[in-house]
Amino acid sequence: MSTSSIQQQSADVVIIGGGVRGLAIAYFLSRAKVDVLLVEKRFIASGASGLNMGYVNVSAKKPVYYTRFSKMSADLYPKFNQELGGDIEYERKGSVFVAESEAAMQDLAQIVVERNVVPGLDMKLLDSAELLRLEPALSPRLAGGYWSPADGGVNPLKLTRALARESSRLGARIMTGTEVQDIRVQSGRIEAVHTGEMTIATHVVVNAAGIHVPRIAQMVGLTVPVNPERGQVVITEALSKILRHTVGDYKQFADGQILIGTTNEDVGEDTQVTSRMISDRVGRALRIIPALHKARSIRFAAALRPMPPDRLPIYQKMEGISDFYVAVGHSGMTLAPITGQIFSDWITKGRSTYDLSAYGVERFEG
Amino acid sequence: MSTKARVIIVGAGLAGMAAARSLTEHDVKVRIIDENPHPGGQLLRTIPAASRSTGLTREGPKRRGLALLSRLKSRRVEIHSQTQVVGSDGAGRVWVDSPRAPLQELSADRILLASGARETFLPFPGWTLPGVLSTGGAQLLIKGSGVLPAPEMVIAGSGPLPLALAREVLKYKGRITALLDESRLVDSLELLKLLPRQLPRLLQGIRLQGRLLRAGVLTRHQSRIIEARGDEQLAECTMAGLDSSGAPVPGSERTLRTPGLAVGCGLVPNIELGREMGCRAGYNQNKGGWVLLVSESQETSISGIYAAGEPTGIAGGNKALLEGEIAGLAIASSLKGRLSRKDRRRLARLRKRLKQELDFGAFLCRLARIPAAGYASIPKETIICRCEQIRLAEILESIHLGFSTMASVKKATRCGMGRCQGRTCAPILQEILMTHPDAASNGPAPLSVRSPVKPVALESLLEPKEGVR
Repeated sequence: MSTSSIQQQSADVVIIGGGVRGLAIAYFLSRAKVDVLLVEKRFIASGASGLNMGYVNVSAKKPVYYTRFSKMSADLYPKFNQELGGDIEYERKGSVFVAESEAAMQDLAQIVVERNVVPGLDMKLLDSAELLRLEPALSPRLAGGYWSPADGGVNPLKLTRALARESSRLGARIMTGTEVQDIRVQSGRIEAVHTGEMTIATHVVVNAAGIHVPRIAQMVGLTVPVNPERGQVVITEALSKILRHTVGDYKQFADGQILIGTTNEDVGEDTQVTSRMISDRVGRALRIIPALHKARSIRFAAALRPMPPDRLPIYQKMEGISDFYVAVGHSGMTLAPITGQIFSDWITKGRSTYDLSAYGVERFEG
Repeated sequence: MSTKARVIIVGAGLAGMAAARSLTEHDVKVRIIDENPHPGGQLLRTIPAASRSTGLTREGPKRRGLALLSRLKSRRVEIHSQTQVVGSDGAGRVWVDSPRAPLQELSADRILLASGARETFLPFPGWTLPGVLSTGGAQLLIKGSGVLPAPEMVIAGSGPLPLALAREVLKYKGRITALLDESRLVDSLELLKLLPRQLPRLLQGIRLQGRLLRAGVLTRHQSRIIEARGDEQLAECTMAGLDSSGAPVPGSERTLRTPGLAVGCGLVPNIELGREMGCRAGYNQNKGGWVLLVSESQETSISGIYAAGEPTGIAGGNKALLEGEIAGLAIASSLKGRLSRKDRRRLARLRKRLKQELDFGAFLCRLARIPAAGYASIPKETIICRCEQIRLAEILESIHLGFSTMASVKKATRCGMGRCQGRTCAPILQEILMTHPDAASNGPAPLSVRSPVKPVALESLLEPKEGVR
């Protein structure tokens, strides 16, 4: 291979990963007038960011400090949405979780008590009749559910596209189909990021590579525990309005398609869909939303969530090497604005106003 | 459908039927899965019911198709109509959907994909208006029900389908306001190079042109419909002449008042199921675009999965018959060991004839092909994805932002993510990307396909059957 074909680039900050986390960080940094180059191995939102409900969810988050953290991010959304141009199908209409049995109902009751410790959550337990008044398409045989007004949603494809568009408009460079091969460190300082065709001179790297975070982190000798977790979904054809809110694993998008979630499977990097899981998820959906019986599915799909062992996000500025950051975890949609804000502040001001002590990699040590 | 067939054939068209015959001759148990109400594929669908039963038709492939059909019926080959293979589990089992039963997971020793082709189009503003049909759809309507879509019609496009439709319209006493063809007149003369083998087709074409001329219909070459208009229903359309690159010539526009317009720009292979199963595809303009790559034995890149007929390249009925027969013999030999000397000689003969048919196919595909300038001249406000109402402008904006591959454009714009699963717009979007200066550098990349390949009722997905992992 001739070295002359290697392209030379430079950037103040290189972000690795074109999912919602990397894009949100690119967007906030670009707004702070930082020269950003984002590299993505495949294409924008090619992983979990491109296949999820777009659930801006607070009510399912635990422990309490994580509920509070998620709520803070959800509260940033109205402004975030507006600044992005308002075309991401954002809404905060609340969401519903349902219980099929009395036992499940008791679990929900406990969740409501636990979460309501956080001011502004105002969750409420619903009996079967109250549930039906909120969501008339649900089965009358359900035991009940809870109502969480702080939850909302976006269209994940529109959000990631808007982030890419606005970042580019503000000067960020986004390079897709570009895989990082190595990160060069000299005397404890990052000097460059190498891809197949490019050397990018930089001193700051943000590792937001989703399920590939551990491999990228190893390039600078850092161990980050993240496992891929498969989620399978079923997508229906566009239907007339059936669901008024997000209902647990089910969401009707603006175009009428309903997404039926999802599974949590530890199968490595396998994105195959399986008939057993599809049957299982569809079976539950039809029990909960009988109106779907005659609807047709147009797509089965699976994506891999980047999941830390305790299911909480990892936000890390690495010790010993300057300046290597890690941003990874589940709930990228919910946490998009707060993640962008945190890393922008961290990189431009040296600190974040949010308490991040619970989200470092130290928590997994010893 | 409880017993295991040794071979599952997807599609009961000419290729599938020819393969089934070779296989049953070798005592291999076959099960044909076909989505249409009746076996016979697209070609036999266009034979009116009356002559279907009498077997009276002049055209070679159709006649042979009818003979095959009656043979399969007499041999009691298992044909499941209105049934679809919608996906696979990645381990050799296929998911079969029928309106009468829950989704079933079936396995077989070999699978043959003979899933045919569909029409493709060059979109223009107004192509989604009621009153605008596909040439194939209009032909089926006329032959199926004996009803003309409109008393007067404009027919436009490329390849043989517009001509075939024109013949039907005249047969049913319809009027043809204009018959437009993308290609140059001299392009058709290339068929002369394929004589004497293709003499019957040449004569057929000449007879057809003669019939059109007697009815006062003159094909206008190098012409295209560039817009259709009307309030809720087609009322008029605009035609334009084309320059040598295939772009409309400014100032050549003419308005045609018409209640009916049929358009079609040739066929694209149905490779979705093969792609879903992981079979390799290649782009070949002489074969109609993206095709499944197969060996001399019609085997795809996935061992045990074969393909025959249009999925390996558009070339008409004779090629489908030949490939089906070759695939049948190859599968029989892979299951039963070495073929007899007679069969080996037969295979050699079939392959030689196949080569001639592939030359004819290349001619057909060149004739139907829309040049890059055609796609480049689509107005920005034109809807590309009919289901999700995505316009070209949105796609171009995405390409500009770096969403320049099929997969990323789909995610960024939702083009192809609607009810038809991109069956209509994906081939168009592929051509748009391949001819766009900012996207062409990605090179041609085949669509990745997810199950279900066809929509499936949710209630069919319940109750996994035995053998499900």
